[in-house]
Amino acid sequence: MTALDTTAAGPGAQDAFRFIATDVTGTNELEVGDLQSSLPASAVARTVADRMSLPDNVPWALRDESTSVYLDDDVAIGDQIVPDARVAITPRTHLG
Amino acid sequence: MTQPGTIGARGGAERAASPLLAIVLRLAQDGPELAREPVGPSDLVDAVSELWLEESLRNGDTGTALDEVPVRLRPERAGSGQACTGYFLESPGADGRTVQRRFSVFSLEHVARRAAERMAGEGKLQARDVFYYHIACDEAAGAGAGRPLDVSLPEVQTRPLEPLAIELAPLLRRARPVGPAAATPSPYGVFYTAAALAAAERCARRGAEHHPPVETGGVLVGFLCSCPVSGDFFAVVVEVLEAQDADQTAYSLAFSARTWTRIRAVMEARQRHAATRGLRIVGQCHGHNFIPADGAPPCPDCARRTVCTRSSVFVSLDDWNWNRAVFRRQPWQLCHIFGLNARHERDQGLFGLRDGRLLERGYHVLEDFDPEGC
Repeated sequence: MTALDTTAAGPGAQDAFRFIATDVTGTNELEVGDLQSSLPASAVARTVADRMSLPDNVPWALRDESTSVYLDDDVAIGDQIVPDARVAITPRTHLG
Repeated sequence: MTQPGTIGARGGAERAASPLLAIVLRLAQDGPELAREPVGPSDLVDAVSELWLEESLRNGDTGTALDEVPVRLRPERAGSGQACTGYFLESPGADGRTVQRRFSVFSLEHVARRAAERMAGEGKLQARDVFYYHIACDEAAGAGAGRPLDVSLPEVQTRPLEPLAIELAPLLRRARPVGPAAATPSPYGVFYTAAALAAAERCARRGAEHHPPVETGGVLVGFLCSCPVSGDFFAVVVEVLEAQDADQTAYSLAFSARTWTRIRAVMEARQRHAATRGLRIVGQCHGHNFIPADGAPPCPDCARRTVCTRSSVFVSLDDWNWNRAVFRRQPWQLCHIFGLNARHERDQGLFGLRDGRLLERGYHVLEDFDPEGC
């Protein structure tokens, strides 16, 4: 699945919900309102990273700002955060 | 110019093709073309950010956002063929003249590594293969005149810059310079308070006390400033937030969810107060707490050398990838490495964005800094 495949369209659009994604420094913020809640968090993270033009050579994860935990990559995002939640798009990489 | 490289550790997806520039990979300098990787707008964000810093922010124009800078990309041709020695980014200067900044092929190493990863995935390159890369331009796309380059993100809201208005010259007069002599042209000004520099070194070297040693570090927190007299732009690092609850090994430091959560909580608390509202994360520091060259003894002529140049102070590929990911579109980004040389002496170096990559640079140390009174 590519990042662009995750956009809700047609009958699935009513399943979309809104959330706010920020980068880890809190400098850039993206409002997302067109992704299906049934999409796995990993696909949503890739889409958010793509829309924020973040580098594609590192894996990305979403961190729920209210619980401080990473969303489970394989679980639908709608099962892990509530509408209007704030998440941080976080690189899963390390200093070396 | 052809540059050697080796395969990095990670893969990457293909980006939308740019009709103007590509990176060409070869297994030998004069060998056949192994891969041709398009250079897309996203690949040039670090270079465009640097252009914004150097030509807008450092000339007193802190009101123009990165997205608002009109940029043209123009190849620097090596001759009559497709090969390029680099490229120029151009934008209108404050006085109406076009300003330009040159970038070398090294600024596109990440594109070459992406192509190499793809070739490795297809079995056309092995892990220890050395490859060579150079820039090629597409003549049919009007390479001579260049073309507009758009890296704007209309959907993304960016925190306003709001730099502090602080005169630079008085700070320089009372500051102590550290690091390499000033390059030409000089990089944007970076100051540390003495307390912040000590804190950076302390948390970076904390991992050296572990058995075996591990990497430790934190984020650099400071103010962005604009001089009302000269118009120049600079940063003052006043605090270091240690990366707590991080995953540490001898050669890596990974921030966990708890690490980031604490950092964000502290930053939000700082930004709620008027005096510290302008604070932001401007870089990272960490320790390379290992002896270089796998602990090999110093060179045979070590005793005759004044300075040991074999050091663990360098920006690793992981460090660069981390900074690119965390400080996207933030050209003031810093990377401070504290390490050791082959004589087991302490060494350190600050790295900042130049030529679209992190290169060592100098900085200044202030005994104190009051953002309201200086």
